[in-house]
Amino acid sequence: MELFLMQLFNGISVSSILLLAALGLAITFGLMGVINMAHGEFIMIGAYTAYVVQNFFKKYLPASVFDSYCIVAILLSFLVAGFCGLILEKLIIRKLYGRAADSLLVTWGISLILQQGARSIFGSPNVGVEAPSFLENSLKISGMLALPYKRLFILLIAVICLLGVYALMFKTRQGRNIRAVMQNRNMAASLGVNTSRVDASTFAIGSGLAGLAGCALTWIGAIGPTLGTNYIVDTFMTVVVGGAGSIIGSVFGAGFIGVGETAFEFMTTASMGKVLIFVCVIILLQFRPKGIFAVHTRSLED
Amino acid sequence: MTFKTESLYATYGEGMVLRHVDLEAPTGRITCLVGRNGAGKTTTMKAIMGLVKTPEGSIQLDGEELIHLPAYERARRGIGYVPQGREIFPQLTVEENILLGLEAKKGKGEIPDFIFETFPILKEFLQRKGGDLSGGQQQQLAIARAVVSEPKILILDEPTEGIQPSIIQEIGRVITGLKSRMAVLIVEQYLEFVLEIADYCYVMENGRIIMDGAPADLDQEKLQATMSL
Repeated sequence: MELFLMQLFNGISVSSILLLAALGLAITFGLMGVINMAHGEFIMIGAYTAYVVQNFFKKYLPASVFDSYCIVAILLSFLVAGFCGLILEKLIIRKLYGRAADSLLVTWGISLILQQGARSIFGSPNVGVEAPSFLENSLKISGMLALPYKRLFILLIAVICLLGVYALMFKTRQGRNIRAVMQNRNMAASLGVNTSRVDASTFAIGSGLAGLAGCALTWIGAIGPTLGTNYIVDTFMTVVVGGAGSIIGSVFGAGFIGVGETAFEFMTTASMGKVLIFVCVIILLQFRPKGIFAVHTRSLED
Repeated sequence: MTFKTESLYATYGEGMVLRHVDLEAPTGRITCLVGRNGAGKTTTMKAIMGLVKTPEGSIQLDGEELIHLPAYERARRGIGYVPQGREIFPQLTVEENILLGLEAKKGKGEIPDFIFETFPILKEFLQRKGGDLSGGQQQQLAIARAVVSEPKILILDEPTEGIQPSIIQEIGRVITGLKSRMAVLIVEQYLEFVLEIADYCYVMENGRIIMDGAPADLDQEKLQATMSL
């Protein structure tokens, strides 16, 4: 029973990381229809932002306040990645709306440029980010069952982000405008919605969320210039399985892939687990080609 | 308040669809643009709203030139638009659909009482998804959304299309009631409806205005012939 609960927690933990990474993509790909292959690099930008903040705290501030770097890192990783997303949207992405193949190729190129940029600035080897001391231990439930605080903290961040995105989309004027633009761009403009501004801010929010995911990832492993590429396939899979455009779909997609992958890996091997989850996704998409929760949004063909 | 277009040209892809269109729609008057399918009526509406290219001409609202402004700025200047097929947001609630109309005032203000006095059914269905309403209710929602910001001119593209006769009468009453608040410009194919509510008509053929005047003054034979082509 304890082993089952431990595996379940591991699955939920992987799901929460996937969800964090996929929330941004659910917005940029799911709602806006932009195939952004550079999404993973926004994760990487967020991770390196946390690394820089950590180094700044280590170097310039007293050790007693070191733990509070994580708050600054969380905020800055969102803002820096969001700002980079904003610049990218204004310079390049806005010319690619409705051009799926072009956006795929261009953003792939951008991802390579960003990776090389990270290599030039931080070097090729992976670097580590020290987690705050209050995340070092585990919550002991019973003899074998201990839940690491780091994983619990990431789960908490994922839940807060999810609630934040939900509140933004369904409880604010900005969210209403985003949904209107995604459903019918010309009509939204005809009512007075500045659609270019909505596009830019939506893309920035999606990129910022990816940055936040990157920040969270620094606490469970080393980071490097190719950090994002490790997650890009799983995050796209999460959004597609959940149903492009559906925030709640992303939660189910992340849960399906995270828990499924962990379970398959436990029963077989790491690589076989991956293969099996891919097979499950292919079978699922045969029956529900638009994902678990299909939503009508601005289509890529528009 | 007067709205007018002068020598307006519009293109769709490579082809010129509108040629030299002069229209005038003052407050207190229901102005109708009639013509058969493909005459260029919907393109005229889209050109006014800034949704198709207009290489030449002028679109003026109270003397202010709008031709170079994007659609959202035209809405903010005071054009309320009810498109053909209504185009309500099906996934948004009735309330959200109406609130979007306030974006013409940059989202400021609340839904004024006259909206629910004019369309009591919308108050009843405020939390329903727009897509769950009937065709007639969606048309009322589309009009409510366009007039919630109290625009200077309301432009409606085929408001009777696909609507049952009893609701058409109701929509006619609503539009007539609005003309004291704003100018009204309607594109319509349903000639009976036009002759009932219009104060002034423009007849369009092949992207040009071929005749205009009060409905009673129009050459009825020519009008019928144009519409039945």
